Amino acid sequence: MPPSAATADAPWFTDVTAAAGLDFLHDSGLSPERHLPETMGAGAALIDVDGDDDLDLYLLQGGPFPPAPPGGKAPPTSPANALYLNDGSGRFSAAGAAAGAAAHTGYAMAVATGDVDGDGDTDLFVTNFGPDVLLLNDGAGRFTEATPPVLADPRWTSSAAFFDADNDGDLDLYVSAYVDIDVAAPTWCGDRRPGWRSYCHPDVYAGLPDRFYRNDGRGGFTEATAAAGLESPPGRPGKGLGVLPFDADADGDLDLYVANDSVENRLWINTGDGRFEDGTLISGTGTNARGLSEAGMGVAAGDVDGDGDLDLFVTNFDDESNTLYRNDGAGLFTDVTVSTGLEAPSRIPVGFGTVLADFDHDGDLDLAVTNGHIIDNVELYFDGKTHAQTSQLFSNDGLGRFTDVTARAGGLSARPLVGRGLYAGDLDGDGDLDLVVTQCGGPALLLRNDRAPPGTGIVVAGIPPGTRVVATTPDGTSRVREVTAAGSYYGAGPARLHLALPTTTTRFALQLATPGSPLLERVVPARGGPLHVLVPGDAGLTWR
Amino acid sequence: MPTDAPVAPPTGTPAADNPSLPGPDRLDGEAESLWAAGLRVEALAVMADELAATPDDQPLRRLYAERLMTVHRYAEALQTVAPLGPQADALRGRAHYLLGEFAPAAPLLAATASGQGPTATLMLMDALEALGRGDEAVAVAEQAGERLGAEHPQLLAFRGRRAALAERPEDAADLFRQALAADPLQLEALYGLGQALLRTGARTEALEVLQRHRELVPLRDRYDFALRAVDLAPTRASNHAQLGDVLRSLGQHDEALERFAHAQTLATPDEVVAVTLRHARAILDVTEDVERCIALLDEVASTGSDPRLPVRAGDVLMRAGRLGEAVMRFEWAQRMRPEDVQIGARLTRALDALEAEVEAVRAHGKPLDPHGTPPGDHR
Repeated sequence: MPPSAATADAPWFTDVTAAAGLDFLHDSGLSPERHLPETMGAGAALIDVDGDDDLDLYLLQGGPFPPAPPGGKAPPTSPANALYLNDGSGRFSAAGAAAGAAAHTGYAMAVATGDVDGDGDTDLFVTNFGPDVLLLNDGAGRFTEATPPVLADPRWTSSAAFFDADNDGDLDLYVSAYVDIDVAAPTWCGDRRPGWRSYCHPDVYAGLPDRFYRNDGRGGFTEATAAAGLESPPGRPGKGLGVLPFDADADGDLDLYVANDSVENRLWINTGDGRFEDGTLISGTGTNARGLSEAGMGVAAGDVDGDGDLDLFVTNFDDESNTLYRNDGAGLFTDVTVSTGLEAPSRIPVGFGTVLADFDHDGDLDLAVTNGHIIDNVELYFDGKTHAQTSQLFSNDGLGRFTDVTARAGGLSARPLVGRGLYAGDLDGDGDLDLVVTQCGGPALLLRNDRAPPGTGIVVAGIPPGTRVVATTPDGTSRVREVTAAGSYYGAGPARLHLALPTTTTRFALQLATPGSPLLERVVPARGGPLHVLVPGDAGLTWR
Repeated sequence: MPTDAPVAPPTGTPAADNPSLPGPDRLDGEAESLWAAGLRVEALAVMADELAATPDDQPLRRLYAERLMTVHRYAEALQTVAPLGPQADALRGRAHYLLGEFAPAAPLLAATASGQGPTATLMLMDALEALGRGDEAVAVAEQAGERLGAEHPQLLAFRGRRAALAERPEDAADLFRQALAADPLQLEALYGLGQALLRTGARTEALEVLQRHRELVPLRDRYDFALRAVDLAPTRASNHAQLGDVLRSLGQHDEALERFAHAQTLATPDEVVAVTLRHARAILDVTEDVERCIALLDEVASTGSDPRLPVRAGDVLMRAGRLGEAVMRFEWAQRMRPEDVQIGARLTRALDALEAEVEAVRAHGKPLDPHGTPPGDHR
C-alpha cells in the first residue's frame, strides 16, 4: 500500500485490496431455506496482534449453513476466520495456521478486542451462531482457545464489547444477542413462487436477552447482567446488533448504548460503581424523533459539533433514516438527523457499519457508512431497491452539518457492496485513517486514504479504551476524542486515538482522562513526517 | 432489520388514501380476476400485454400504473405514465417520493397535494424536511390545516417537532398536547411531549408520558409489521386477522372487528377455523354480544367438522349461564370427535351444572346464582 499523495481533487479513498495482498472472501452460506443468520455478514478487527506497532487484520468467516450443532464439529469444509499480518507498510500476508485458534471455524458473527488477561497484548472474543469463543494471544499473534464455560454462549449472539464497566482496571464484557430461530424448521417468508423465498423480518422471532460478564482481574468472568442492572424490562429483550461503550454523560465512566433491531434501542447509564440505570427514556435515544423504533445496526460516537461532548450515530434499515442524536448535556439527546443533512441520503439504503473520523484532517469528524440490503432478491419486491448498495461518505463542516461527498469517495463508493462491517485505522503508517469494509458473501476491501494531507495526522497508541482525550492547539482550538475499539457493526477498530493538527502547529496540549486513573496533562512538541505515533509512558508522552 | 415484506410508507405517512389518477379503479377481464385473487404478478403481466397491444388506452395505462405502485414498482410506474401529461403528476410525485427521490418529488407533490387526501400533503412535508427545507414544510403544514382540519394530529405533531428542533419546548409541548387530544395514540406527539417536558423542567410528567410512549411502541411495531404482511399478501386471511389482533390491543375495536370480518370472507378451508375462533373472541370481548358470537361459531361449524368451534360456543354459553345450549354444543362437538376426552369432560361438567340447576329450581323455584350458590344462601 504505497503512501498517499493528497490533492484537493483526489478521491478520498483508493481501493488497494489486491495490491495490499488481501484476498479474503466471506461465505454467507446462502441456503435455499434462507436462514436469517446468512444475512448478517461478519465483522473484523484492526489490531496489533504481534506487538510490532502496525495494525493487523482479523476477518471473521461464515461458511455453510446451518453450521455444526452445539458441541458438534464443524463440517470439514467450513472455512476459518483469517488473520492477516501487516508488514508495516500496509501489505498483508495471511497468517494461516500460525494464528493458532484464531483460525476458528465457527459460523462467526462479531469480534471484540481487549487485553482480557492483563498480559499486555490484545485478545479476542468471537461471537458465533453457536458457542462463542475467547482466544488468548501469546503476544506474538498466536492464539489459544481459553473459553470459560460461562462465555461459551450457544445462543445466537451478535455484537460484543470489552470495557471497564466498574473502573477496576480490567475489561468486562457485554454481549448482545439477537433472535431465537429454529434452524430445524425454518419459517418460510415471502412469496411462494420459485425464487421469491425471502428472509424473515425479525418481528417473526422472539428477541434474546443480552448478557454482561464481570472480569475478576485474572481473565475469569462471572455473569452479572442482573447484578449490574443491565436486564431489559420484563418481556422486552432487545434484538441487539450494535454495542458501544462511551461516556454519554461526561461523568468519567463508561455508559453503554445498544442498537436493537426493530425494537427500542437502549442507553445504560453507569452509576460509577459498575452498575447501570436505564437512561433510555430520558435520553431520548430509544427511538427517533418521530417516536418510532428503528432497526438499529451500526453505532458510532464522537463530538460531531465540536461542543465537547459525544454525539451518537446509529445506522438503520431502509425506509428509515440513519439517526444522529446530538448530545445536549445532562443526559439529554436530540435527534438532529434532519437538520444535519443526513435524512434524505439515508432513507433508501440499509446502513450497517459506520465510522466517525477525521478523514480529511480538517479537525472535525466526517462520517462513513457502508450499506447493503439483507434480502438477496429484494429487487423482486421493490424496483427501487437492490441487494448491493453504494457506501456513503459525508464531510463535516465543523459544526456538525454534513455534506454528501459520496461521489468523491473513490474506492469506497466505486461499486455497490453488500456492506456490513466498516472500520478505520492507519494501516499504512502514514498518519491518516484508512478503511476496511467487510461484505456479506463477498470480498473484504481495503481502502487507502488519499484525502488527508501528508504529515498532519498523529496516532496516540497505548492508552486504555475509554480514555477521553482533549487536544488543544495554541490558538485555543480543542478537539475531544474518546478511545474505543468497539462500535460500528460486529467488529472492532484499533484502540488508538487519531488526531489531525494544522500543519502550522508547533506544539499542542494533550489531556488524557482514563476512567479510574489520574488525569494526565502534557504539552507535546509537534512532529511531522513518519514519526507520528505518540505513546504514554513513565516519562510522559513520547514519539515512537 | 430484515423484512420479508414490502415496507410501509416511510415514517409518519399513512398508506395512500386514494389513487391520484382519474379513471377507473378496476377493469373487467382476466387481469382483474387475477388481481382479485391475489395473483398480482400474473395480473400485471396480463395488463402489460394488454397495454402493449393497446398503447393508447389511457384508462388501462393509468390503472396499470396505479397497480404497479401498489406492488412497489415505482420506477416502472413512472415509465408507464411517461406518455401521460400533467394528469399523472400526482402519481409521479408519490413515485419519486417512495423511491427516496425527494428533490423531484417535492414540486410534483406541491402542485398536486391540495387535490388529494392527507397522504400527499404528509409526503410533501416529509420530502421538504428531508431536503433541509424545514421552514417550507412547516408552512405546508400550517396551510394544510385549513384544508385537512387544524386539529389533524399528524400536522400538529409535525409542527411540534419542528418547534422542538427550534428549541421552543413550550410551544412544542402545546402542539403535542393538541395532537394527543385528537389522537391519544400519536407516538410522535407522545415522545415529543415527553422530551419537551424534560426541557421545561416538568420531569415527573415527562417520565409518565415517556413511559406511556414506551408501552405503545411495541404495539405500533406489531401494527406496522401486520400492515406489511397485509401489503405483501392481501388475500391471506391470517394476515388480516393478525392486524385485527393488533388493532384490538391498540384499543381500535371497531376497526379490529371490521378487519376480522374481512379475514372471515377471505379464509380458505385451512384457515377458516382459526380465523373464526379469533373473530368470535373479538366479538365477545369488544361487544359482549353473546348472540352474535354464537351465531358466527354455529354458522361456520355447520359447514365443516371441526369440533373446536362448537366447543368454543359451548364454553361461551357455559360462562353465560345458558347451560342447556352449552350441552347441545358439546354434544355436537362430541359427534364430530366421539373419543375426545376433553370434549367428554366438558359435556359432563355441563350436564352436571344443568342437573344442579334443575334441582335448584325444584328446591327453590329459582336457578343457582352464577357462583353456584342457591338463592338466599349467602353464608
